This record gives sequence, structure tokens and C-alpha cells, in this order.
Amino acid sequence: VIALYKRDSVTALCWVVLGLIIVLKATTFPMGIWESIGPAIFPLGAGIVLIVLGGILFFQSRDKGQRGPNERRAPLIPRGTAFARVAMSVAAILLAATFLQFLGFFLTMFCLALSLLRAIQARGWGVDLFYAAVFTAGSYLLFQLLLKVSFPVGLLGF
Amino acid sequence: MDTIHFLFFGFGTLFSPTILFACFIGVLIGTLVGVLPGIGPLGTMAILLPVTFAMDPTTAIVMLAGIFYGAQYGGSTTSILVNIPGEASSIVTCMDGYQMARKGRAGPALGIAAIGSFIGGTLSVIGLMFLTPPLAKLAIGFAAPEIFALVVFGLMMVCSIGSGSTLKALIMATLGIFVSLIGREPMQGFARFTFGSFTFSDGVGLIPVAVGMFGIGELLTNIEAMAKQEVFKTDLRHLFPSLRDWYDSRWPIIRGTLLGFFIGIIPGPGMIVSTFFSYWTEKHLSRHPEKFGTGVIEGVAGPETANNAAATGAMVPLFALGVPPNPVMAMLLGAFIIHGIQPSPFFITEHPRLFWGIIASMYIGNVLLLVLNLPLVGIWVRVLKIPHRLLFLLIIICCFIGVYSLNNNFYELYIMIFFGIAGYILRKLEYDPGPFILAMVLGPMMETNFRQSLAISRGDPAIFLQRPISATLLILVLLLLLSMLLFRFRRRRKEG
Repeated sequence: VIALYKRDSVTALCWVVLGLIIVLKATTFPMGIWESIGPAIFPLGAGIVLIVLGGILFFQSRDKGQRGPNERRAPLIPRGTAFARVAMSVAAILLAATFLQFLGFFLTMFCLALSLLRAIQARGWGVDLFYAAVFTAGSYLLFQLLLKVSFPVGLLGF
Repeated sequence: MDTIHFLFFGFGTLFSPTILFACFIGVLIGTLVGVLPGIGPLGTMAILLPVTFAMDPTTAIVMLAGIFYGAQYGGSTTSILVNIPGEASSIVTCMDGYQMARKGRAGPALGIAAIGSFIGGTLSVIGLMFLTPPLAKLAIGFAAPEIFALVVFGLMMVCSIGSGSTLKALIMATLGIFVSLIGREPMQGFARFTFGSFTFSDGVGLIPVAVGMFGIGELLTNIEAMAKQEVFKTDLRHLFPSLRDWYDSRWPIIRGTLLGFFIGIIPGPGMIVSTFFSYWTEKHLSRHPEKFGTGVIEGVAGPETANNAAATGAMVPLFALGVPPNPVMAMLLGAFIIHGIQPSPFFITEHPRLFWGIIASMYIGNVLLLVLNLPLVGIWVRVLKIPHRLLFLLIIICCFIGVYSLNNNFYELYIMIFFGIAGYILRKLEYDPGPFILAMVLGPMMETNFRQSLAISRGDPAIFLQRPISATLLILVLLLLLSMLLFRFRRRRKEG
């Protein structure tokens, strides 16, 4: 369990660094003149504001940490099965995006549905395979046949 | 007289089977997402936006607006029966609604919530109908400096009134502005932060970002928690409130309508603020304030009326000025832009069919919602029992297909996943993603109007202070910032 003010300090520093990167990159864009300001000004402004706000958050969180009792929150990264559920769900969506073109809509949807069912709350394999097939057929009917959304055909050819 | 004439014109537009069906689907989905905790109207609108591409703008906007105000109705069901707010704007309803359910009075609680929502929703449409056209006429004189000041003021209000830390909300708004700057800028076509990528040259799309942050992000939070589904078993046969309930609710409903409508117009999370304000008002005006929280009907009637009235009130600045007062309205603005319509003070004169069609649809939508939420409340109770894993799966598949079908671009799926993970982490760090989306929509408007203002004044930044409306709005922003600093300074002194 990490104290909230420590998290805030770390994220505040991240905003300061991001703000600096934005400012540095923005200085390479044309600045223009007052009558016709260039594309650099707004990103430059956004970067500076981000640095200032990040700085305020950093000092505010340090101040809070020194003055009051540490405010504690649930872990940033979940533990145990909760972590497995989240990580496997993200991995399933990421893999589906990566292999959509190669596998095609039908296979990708089936694999995505099955892996999400297993990741979120697995029941028996038979039940999960059944629901994965139902969801795949349903999404195929709705999106490909009814709404005529075009998807890559992939391995199966449809 | 003109207003009534135009209203009939709106009903004429609405009575096409397609638009009526879209209105029904919108309020049905709205009630569904309102009932289900975990996914809100913003995420749903983002997920369903690609589906509307094939529709004509009136049909699409009528459906999306239906989702928004429909969600305010559905939220009360979960608050009363499960003690978990289906929507953030139904948090207050838990206090007395759930207590009424525990006392075996879930029926009257659900009944008064639906009836109050209907009255608040319908009366505020009348307000919207009469207030928006004159406000738009007044705003026709707005030039670039006024619009810039209005956008800054709106963003500042959303950040300062929103839930949680104002500083974090401001950081999120700044990040949203930064993301909106990615791609070719509108005035000279210069590519910014694209890093040579073709996908980024047109900018980062609103839909992948919104679906990621509000669809995937919220789902990951729910998948992590996987709360137990427990629905309070209660008698739902007697939904109509008794004469005594009606008598006790009459003033809370009237006050809730007025409070909700006018708070909804102000930029900020009006739906949530109006419910707390309504509850606070009713408690302070009540002869028995000590009973609040133990299951009094006024504690349900006032807030549930207020959130529906606020949802309609929030449409006034969008239709009259073209400036969204909250993130959900920003999503609706995004939908307008995607369908080739730029809301502005000229919106009503340029698109009367669309504006009066939406107004007419809201009258019909409120009647449909009353039917959906009173006699059919049993269906929504059963919906609450659908296993979450199946609902989550359905939503993820809709997110995935919705984002891919936008441009058949794989990179947009990666953008969705990136913002999904970002949204999940940022929520844990207590950053509200609302200001991010609002700023992302308003960013280009802000930059274009700022640059045009300086071009008009030949580079003199004093133009913002020389025009009374922009000067007033910017002074208000400054006062808001100063009041926050003062508040913090006083609190520190108090803490010693």
C-alpha cells in the first residue's frame, strides 16, 4: 500500500517532465508574430501550464505528507486474482487488435470473447465456449451482415 | 406563437418511423446504462457514435440525446434496490431511496422517482424551448474574443466544481488540450507532435480516446472489483405513491425542477451538483429534517427531479452558444461535428429541423421513459441480475468493433487501449477523466478563437479586456482562481 501523497509526488513529476518535453518540442515549431501567431504558441502554453500545475501538485503533496497522517489507498497495481483479471483482459484486447488482420473478424472475435470470459470470471470450458460462440455469431450478424461494417477476412476467408 | 409553430414543425420531423424508433432505442439504452452501475452515458455515447455514421444527423442526435437523459431515469432503480448508484447523479437517491426499500416501500420510491423525473424532464424541455432561441439571438453578436473567453470560463467552472481535486482536474484539462493539438493545426496546416505518423496527422480521434477512457477504463476498474450482485427483494406491485406521498413530494418536485434546470445551464457537473443542492434544500426546508436519511419520500422526489431537469438544462449552452457545459455534452458536440454540423449561435436558424426535432423528441422520450420505468420496472430489476461477466464482454466487443469500424484503422484500436489503461490508472490516482474529454473537444475551438482574436486586434492582447463580455468572463475566471487560492490559504491557517 502506497501513501497517496507519494503517488501524487511521483505523478506530479511525470507531469513536469511531460510539460518539459512538450515545451522543448513546441519550440521547434514556427512562433509567428503577434498579428499572426504561429502553431508553437498554444502547445508552448499548454506545456508551461502543465509544468506549473505539476510543480504545485508536487509541493502540495509533499506538504500534505509532512503535515498530516498519511492518507492510504488501495494498491495502484491490484494483487492476486484481481491483477490476473485486469492483466489478462488487457492482454486479450491487445492481442485481438494485433491479430485482427491475420485471423480475420470471425476468429478474432471468438478468441477475444473466449479469453475475456476466462479472464473475467471463468465458468466451465463448455459454458465459456458456448457463450463465446453466441457472442461471435451475434456480433457477426449485427455488425457484418446487418450494419455492413467491413472487417478483414483473414485465415477463414470470411 | 413562433415557438409553438416551430414545436409543431419539430413534431412533424419526429413522426417518421426511423426517428421515432431511434428515440425509443436511445431512451431504452439510456435506461439500461442508467440501471447498470459501471458504465455511464458518456462511455455509451462514445461506443455507439460509430453506429450512428450511417444515420442522418437528426436520427443520430435524437438517439444520442435519448441515451443521455434516459440514463438519469435508470440510475434511481439501482440506487433504491441495490444501494449502489447506477449513475453518479443518483448517489443522493441511495440515502432515502434504499431506506424506503428496506421498509418495504421500494414501489413508491421507484414510482415517485419516475414521476418526478418525468415532471422535471418535461418542464425543463419547456424551459429549453423558450430560453435557447433568445439566448442564441443574443449570442449572435459573439466574436472570437467572446467565444475564447466563454470556453476558458466553461473549462474553469468544470474543473473547479467537479468532484475531487481542482488541481488534478486542471491537469487533466491541460492534457486534454495538449492531445487536441496533435495533428495538423487548423489555420496553417502545420503538423504538430505527429512524429511522422499518418494516423496522427489528422489528429487523435475523439472516439478512440473517449471509448478508451470511459469504456475500457471504467470496465477495467469494474473487472478489478467484480462486486457481488445483490438485488434487494421487495414488493414491486404497488408502484404508485399514496396521496400522502404525493402531498409530501409536490414542493420537492417543483423546487427540484427549477434548481435542476438552472444549475444544469451553468458549466460544471450540473446533474450531480443539482441533486445534492436539492437534497440540502429539502432537508433545510423540511419540518422534520432529522428524518432525512431514514427513508423519507422528499429525499427521493427532489434529487431525482433535479437530475433530469439538469440534464435538459445542460443542453441550453450547447444549442444556444455551441459551447458544451460538461463532458457528456462535449461528446454530443463531437457527434454534431462528426455529422458535419458545427453548433454555434446560428445553429437554430441554420438547422431548425434538427433543433426542433430534438425538442419534440424529448417530449416523446420523457413519456416513453415514464412507461419504461413504471410498468416495466420489473424488467430492469431482472437486468440487474444478468451476470456482469457477460455484460462486460458485450461492452468490450462493442468498444472494439466500434473503434475499428470508424476508419478500419488498427492504430485507433491501440489508441483506445492506451487511453483505456491511462483512464484506469488515472482513476486510481483520483484524476477525473471528464475535464480531459471536455478540453479535448474545446481545445481546437479555444486555439482558433484565440488566434483569430489576435488577428482581429492586429496583435493587441488587450482585445480580451476591451470587449465587455469577454472581459467579464475572464475576470470571473481570475476571481475563481483567486478564491481557490484564498480558500487554500485560509484552510492552511486554520490547520495551524
